[in-house]
Amino acid sequence: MSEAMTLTPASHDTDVTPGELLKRAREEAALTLQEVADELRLDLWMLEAIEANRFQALGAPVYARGYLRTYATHLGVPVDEVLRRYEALEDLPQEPEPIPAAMATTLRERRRSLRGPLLAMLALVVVAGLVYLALDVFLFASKTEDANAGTAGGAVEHNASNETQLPLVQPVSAVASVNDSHDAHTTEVDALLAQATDVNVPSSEMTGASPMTSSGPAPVEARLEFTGESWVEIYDATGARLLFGMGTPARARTVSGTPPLQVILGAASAVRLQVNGQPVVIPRREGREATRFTIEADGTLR
Amino acid sequence: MFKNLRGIFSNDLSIDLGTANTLIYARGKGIVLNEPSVVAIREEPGRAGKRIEAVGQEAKNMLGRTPGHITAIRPMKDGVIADFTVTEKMLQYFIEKVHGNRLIRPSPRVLICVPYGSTQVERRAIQESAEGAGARWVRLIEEPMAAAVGAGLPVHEARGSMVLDIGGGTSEVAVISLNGIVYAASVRIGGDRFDDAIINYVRRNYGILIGEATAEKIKIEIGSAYPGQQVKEISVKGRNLSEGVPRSFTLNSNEILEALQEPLAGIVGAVKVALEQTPPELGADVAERGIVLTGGGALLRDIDKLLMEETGLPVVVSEDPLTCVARGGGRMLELIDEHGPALFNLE
Repeated sequence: MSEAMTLTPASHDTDVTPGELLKRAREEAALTLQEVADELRLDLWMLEAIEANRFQALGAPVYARGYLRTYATHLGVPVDEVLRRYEALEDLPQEPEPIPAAMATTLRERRRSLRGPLLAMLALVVVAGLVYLALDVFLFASKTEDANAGTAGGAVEHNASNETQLPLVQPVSAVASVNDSHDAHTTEVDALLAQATDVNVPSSEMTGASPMTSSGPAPVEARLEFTGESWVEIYDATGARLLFGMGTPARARTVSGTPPLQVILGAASAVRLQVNGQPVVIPRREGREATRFTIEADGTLR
Repeated sequence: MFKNLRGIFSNDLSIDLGTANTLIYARGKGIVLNEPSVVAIREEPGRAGKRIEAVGQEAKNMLGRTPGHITAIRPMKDGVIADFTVTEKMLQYFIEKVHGNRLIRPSPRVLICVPYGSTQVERRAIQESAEGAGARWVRLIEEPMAAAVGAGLPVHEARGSMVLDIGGGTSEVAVISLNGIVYAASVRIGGDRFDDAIINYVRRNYGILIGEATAEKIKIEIGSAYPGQQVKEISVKGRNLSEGVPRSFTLNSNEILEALQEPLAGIVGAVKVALEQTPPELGADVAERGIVLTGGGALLRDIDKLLMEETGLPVVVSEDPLTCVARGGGRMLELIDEHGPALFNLE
């Protein structure tokens, strides 16, 4: 009776292995291994392995657990109890890895070869992005430059001359500060005003002056008087558009920019041109109204 | 491009799109969704469209209990899509539910298990509905393979392993060796056919009509595949066909056993054919190790015993048979990531 008590599965004797538990239950039921094997359609060696706790021999865990469960159910031993004891064992069969090692290496190589083009494409995308950004910044900058020059050239000529002559401010103001004892700021403003009003007249005289031209070409001023309608386009050396539009009769436009200035006239006979205050003859081809010429830094036309 | 970006915020999913239940396994998380494949649709008379009223468990509770303007339907039948748009909506709902992130629409990589016997058209429909549901990468895998991997069978060994997956709509039996399917067959018999058999049996013998949900309850509580020592009883209610009023009556497990004979015979027949068709070497391996059962049908009481008696082979029920296919798919997703897509016969 005492033996039967120890056999009861409810006993929390964790030392009892699942194999021993099942073996005792089988012996208690007076069944031979062969009888159980026939009943469960298992091979005799499998049952022996279970009772000896050699679960490795049974292969994948799904089989080991499955056979244990079938065996326990057949003997009327609580399945959970047996499985709990099974889990507590040390050397259990390993969960099968569906990929054998040899196969894994060849496949891994194949995968690596795929990674190359992917990386290359990623790099390409990054480079393209950078180029686009650079272009964007450059274009934006040149656009704003364009806009500045356009408004200045089209509307207020003096502003344009101020802006383009800004490099000149330094030496002039230096001279002014020597002459005048005002603070630097007002001197600079005075100098700017002086330039805006009368700097162009002497600028024709200093065409040959080397100290000025060495720092950069002096701007040229072109004054166009219209006797009739004519299309006009004028661009300076930086590519800025100084004038672009239809000239109407009895109107004059004055522009100035970094030489050489590119000029396109639709009807040359309807335009009188002064460069740096000196009237010049517009070069024309026989029988053609439209003309295209360049105003050089020294005021000559080509 | 955007799908790929959204993919960063999405999980890899393995979906067991079953006739009865849809299970989703998220990589690194395990089974994250297990809901019935049922959608309730509300007809909107004012507008031309239909609206999804409920999906999953909530919709299943409505099955057979809906008013005229709501229909609860099961978009999958016999393991394949019966209603394309509804399946797509259901998948979309499940995928979003799994992610639980309303901000970014998920765009996961998805591995879907399809019945072995499904045709190209049926597979294409499943693939397209998954793409329509937002997946950026869809691959299909045959269910028996996923079931075998999920059950932990040594599929890579040069040794035959037989797996029998009894699902809601189909049952699949396959012999697998060296990461491939040697022989497989699919019969369109599953848990649904068990329910139908119970409904028919009750109507024939009692003249009482019961619903699908009641039939399933009967099957789960007292259904068995093999005569056991103890007889269980259950009290259910149904409509008496001649009187036209609901009646309560009692069924016992032997009656259900009798009712299930026909569908069970179909499954046993498929297994026997599979054993017949298996090459002798692999057949010997199967005879030694036995058959592994997966799928919800494996939970039917004593079905292992029935198969054992009928085939004379050991039969083993896998751990947690309901989730085997989804877990196997998830495991395969991981393996594909590690070793490349050439590993399994994917579509």
